[in-house]
Amino acid sequence: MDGVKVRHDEDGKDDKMMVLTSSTNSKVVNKQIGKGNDISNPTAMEMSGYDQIYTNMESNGMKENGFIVANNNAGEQKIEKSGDDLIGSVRQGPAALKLGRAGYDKIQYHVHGHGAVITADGSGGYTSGSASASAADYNAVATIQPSRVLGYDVQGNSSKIDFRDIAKADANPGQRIALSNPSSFAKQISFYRNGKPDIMTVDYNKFKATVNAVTNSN
Amino acid sequence: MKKIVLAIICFTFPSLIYAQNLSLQNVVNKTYSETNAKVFNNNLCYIIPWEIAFIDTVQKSSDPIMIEFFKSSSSFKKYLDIKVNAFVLKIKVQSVKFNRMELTMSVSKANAQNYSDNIKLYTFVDERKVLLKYNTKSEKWVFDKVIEVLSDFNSTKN
Repeated sequence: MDGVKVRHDEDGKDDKMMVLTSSTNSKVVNKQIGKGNDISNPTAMEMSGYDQIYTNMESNGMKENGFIVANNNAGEQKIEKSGDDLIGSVRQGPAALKLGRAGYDKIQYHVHGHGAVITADGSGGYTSGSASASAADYNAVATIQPSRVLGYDVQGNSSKIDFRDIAKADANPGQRIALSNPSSFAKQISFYRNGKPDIMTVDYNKFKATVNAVTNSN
Repeated sequence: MKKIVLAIICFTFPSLIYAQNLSLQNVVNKTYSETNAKVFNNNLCYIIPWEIAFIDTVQKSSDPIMIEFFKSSSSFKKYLDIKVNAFVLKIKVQSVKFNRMELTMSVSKANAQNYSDNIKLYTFVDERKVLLKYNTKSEKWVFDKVIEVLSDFNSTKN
């Protein structure tokens, strides 16, 4: 995940994979691969889609959105946007169905955003969103590769929460309040599989740099 | 209106459930899967609210999820300062009808750095609605089923 070459398998293909670990120890690397904790190096189209998820959230009151990446039997890739941009959830089923009907039935992974939001519980407590997969996420349908969540590190930057957002949350307990300054919070990407929450969470900009490094490597 | 209804439930609840008992650890362990238990590091913290007096705080070490009970947020804060991170369980009684009680159980992650008298900031982990039924013989509220895993915060829908 740091862009360091850790293993080469001679199988006649030139696919580049990323292993979800920051370790270069071969035992750790092999163990992670054995668990299925590795991903294909995302294509430029996928990376552009990730950026778009953030753009959509920030221009749309932090409504969640995402997409599904699938392959057909010939190995061709198709990306399908998930349905309904909802506050707090994103519907993956219809997109998966559409892909399946078009012959793209090998669902590689889901990716969706988690907004920079807070809610007040009415008794002095606040809950923030994060890049972590929720229970509903990691209990969803299994995918070939680990799925992804794009979010913000609000917890690690709590001092940057604007007091006006806190006041708004206090006035509307239980309601999700989109933070007015999302760029103040570091973007993060986390990886999870069905039944396996949070395999790894990394800084999104670091992830993008690693993808570039892997893409340009020999 | 919702606030008024909740307030009425909160203030009248202790008298309604007098001589009744809810084993929280038992309900929690029936509500969450083994995967959930691992996410919670097999440990949930519960700050006992003053308005709910019927919670049975008995702990069973053989359960996958152990509950640490706290009488106040200040005692929880002392615990959190040592542990740094902890998973916190919150319960809201949504409705009580005859022998049925609906609860919303939410789990969030607390961090010592973001938990003080000024601000208590948690990170969302899980929220679900659970049905309990009253057993008149044992005078206990027992777990019946998970009604819904709520997707009000961060989740995908299939």
